[in-house]
Amino acid sequence: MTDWSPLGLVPVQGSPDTARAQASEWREVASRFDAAATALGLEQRGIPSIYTGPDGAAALDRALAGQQDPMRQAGALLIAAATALDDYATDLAGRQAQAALLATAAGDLARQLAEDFRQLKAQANPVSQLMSVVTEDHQRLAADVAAAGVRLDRLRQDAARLHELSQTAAQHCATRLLQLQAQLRALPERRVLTAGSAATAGMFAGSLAYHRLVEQLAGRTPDWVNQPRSREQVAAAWNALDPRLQAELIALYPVAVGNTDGIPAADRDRANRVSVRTDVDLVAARLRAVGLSLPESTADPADYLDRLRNLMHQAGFTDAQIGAYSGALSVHHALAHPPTGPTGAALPLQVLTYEPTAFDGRGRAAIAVGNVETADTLTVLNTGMGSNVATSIVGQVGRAGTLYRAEQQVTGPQQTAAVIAYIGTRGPGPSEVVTQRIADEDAPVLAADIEAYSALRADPENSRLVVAAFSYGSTIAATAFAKYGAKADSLVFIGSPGAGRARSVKDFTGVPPGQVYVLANSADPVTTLAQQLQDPGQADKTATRAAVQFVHGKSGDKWETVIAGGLVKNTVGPLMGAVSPELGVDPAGADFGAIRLTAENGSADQTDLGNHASYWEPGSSAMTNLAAVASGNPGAADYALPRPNTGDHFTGYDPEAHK
Amino acid sequence: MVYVDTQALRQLGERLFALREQLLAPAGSSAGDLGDALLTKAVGDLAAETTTRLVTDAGAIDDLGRGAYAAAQAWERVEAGLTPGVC
Repeated sequence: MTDWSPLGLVPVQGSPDTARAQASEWREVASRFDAAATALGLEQRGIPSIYTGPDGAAALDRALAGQQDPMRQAGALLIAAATALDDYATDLAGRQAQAALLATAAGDLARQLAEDFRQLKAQANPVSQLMSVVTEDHQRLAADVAAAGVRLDRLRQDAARLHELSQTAAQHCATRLLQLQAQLRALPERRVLTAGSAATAGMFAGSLAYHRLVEQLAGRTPDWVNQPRSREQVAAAWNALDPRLQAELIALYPVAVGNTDGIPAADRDRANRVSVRTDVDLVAARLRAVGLSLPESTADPADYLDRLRNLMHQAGFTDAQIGAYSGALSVHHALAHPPTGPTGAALPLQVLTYEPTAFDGRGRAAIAVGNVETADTLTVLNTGMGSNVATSIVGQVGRAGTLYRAEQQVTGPQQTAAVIAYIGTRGPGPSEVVTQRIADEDAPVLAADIEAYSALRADPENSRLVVAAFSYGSTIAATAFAKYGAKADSLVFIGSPGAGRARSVKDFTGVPPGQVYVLANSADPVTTLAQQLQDPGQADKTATRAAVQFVHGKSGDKWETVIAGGLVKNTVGPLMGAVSPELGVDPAGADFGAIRLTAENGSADQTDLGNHASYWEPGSSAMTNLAAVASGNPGAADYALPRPNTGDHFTGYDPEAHK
Repeated sequence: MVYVDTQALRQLGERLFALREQLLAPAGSSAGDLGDALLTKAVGDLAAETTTRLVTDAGAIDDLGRGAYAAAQAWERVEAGLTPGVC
């Protein structure tokens, strides 16, 4: 491009050729969309040669037809974009041609001015200056210079005007392209997560013909697939099916079979593994389509997840899809790296729930370590804040494995255990962790799941069901047991910020007397600061100081920063009119009535959030005591004094800290 | 009685797989610098959206192909092992 700056002219920038090349590319892509839609239309017309009956034919017809319109619309939008860009390129080329003429004229003027100046200088000799003689030539030259200056100014103004028009045209074109982008984004997206849930179902399993076939063979219609029935009805229908048909249904309806209460755990596991495999294959296929591949499985799940999300972003997955599919890959990762038992052998896993798209992509999953059908003790581990399938299932399975091994150490191999790593409720985000609202929403979900997992046991009369709930998960569990009829043989609160809607153990009518336990480390800020902050009389003293120390003492860890932010917000909250935490009474307090077990780890630093995670350390007092009560051997546990409370909350004095 | 041509269904799956590949064939040129930052960004954004749409639609067609394949296999299993010819 010509450099006009020495002439003082503003250039008209831009490359019409680049714009035309981009427009041409979009036209080519548009033709690809159209060709694909036409090809689908041709296949659609060929359906009668595949199916003679109406059911599968109609399903395939819908599947092929539904994809065509959005593709044609996408093509039309790209043609519109190409037209807009071509128009811009034409305008730009015209303005640049005009600007080139201006540049030529400016160049001529500049040369003329240079010559005039040279002559003026030659005439400006000492004699003429002394005599003050002004020649006619001198006057003419001076007038020419002045006129040329005016003309050059006009040229500059014209060039500036062209530049301004060009910028305006670019902005109009950009606005038009952004409008088209929004329309493109708004086009309906036809995506399925599992082959069994849409395409296959549409062409075969979803057809009435297949239902009739199943009905003929089984003597009944398994309408639970589309119309959920009671757990007992589902179990009766399922168990009456021929094993070959069960296998067919697992292959064709993995989502339904894997998540329907009443289906045995082993079959739920088989079905959910089909769904996981399908999702992993689909992610791999879509990555391959753009020249990428799944990351190598590494020992560090967080690193694996980061790399995976980055690749999916590059491949054009939406945020919701990235959430759901990364949950799928995390479950896959957890299954590929099972925890090991006392002998070092991999422990068996069962996928009891797998719904990666639930809760807007946060997902739902439950993976059991051990065999839930035959285990003598079954423990459901509920987790706390910030838990979603993608980021938390691997760690939760690890905790389940730790408890499984600890139980085996208590009981020996003559008693069997199973522990469910559960991430099945929505859970609170950082801004919601100080409120009871999410616990109220999640409690009925947890109660229903506890009941469903309990029913998976082959011999409920002679096995134990334990619910162990951690952190905010304990607030959810307390509400589920107090308000939604959850039942268990033992209930254990771990690192609890508060007992939600329960005032005391008397509210837990579904738990036998003397079977509510609490693990509260005297230096766990979630059980201490969060409790003190709920007491207006205490919020201004200990908690304030500790929370500020908290911020300065623990930087770099996102979760800790979030908690610290929450504490500070609620410490200074009264001054700003903000709300305080509302998570309920201290379950480790004497008035609550739970049996407190030792959970100390030697730390006295109430600002260290590491103490909140200490319960899960293998060999810790908390883990040993949890294993003792979970396995039904409370006599092997180490008991602790409850915290004295003058009201509902922790007063700041903990006998466990002064042992 | 419903007749299903499983071979045709399987071939449909193969054709859909091929269609997916055609849809994702790499395009020829790139946006480059159009001389105006706003327009360059708009072109880049629309190009990215187009890529997403291509990948999405290709994925949907891929699913249809898988579905056709799976349906053909399922029908074949039924016809071969469970109840030949009965639907």
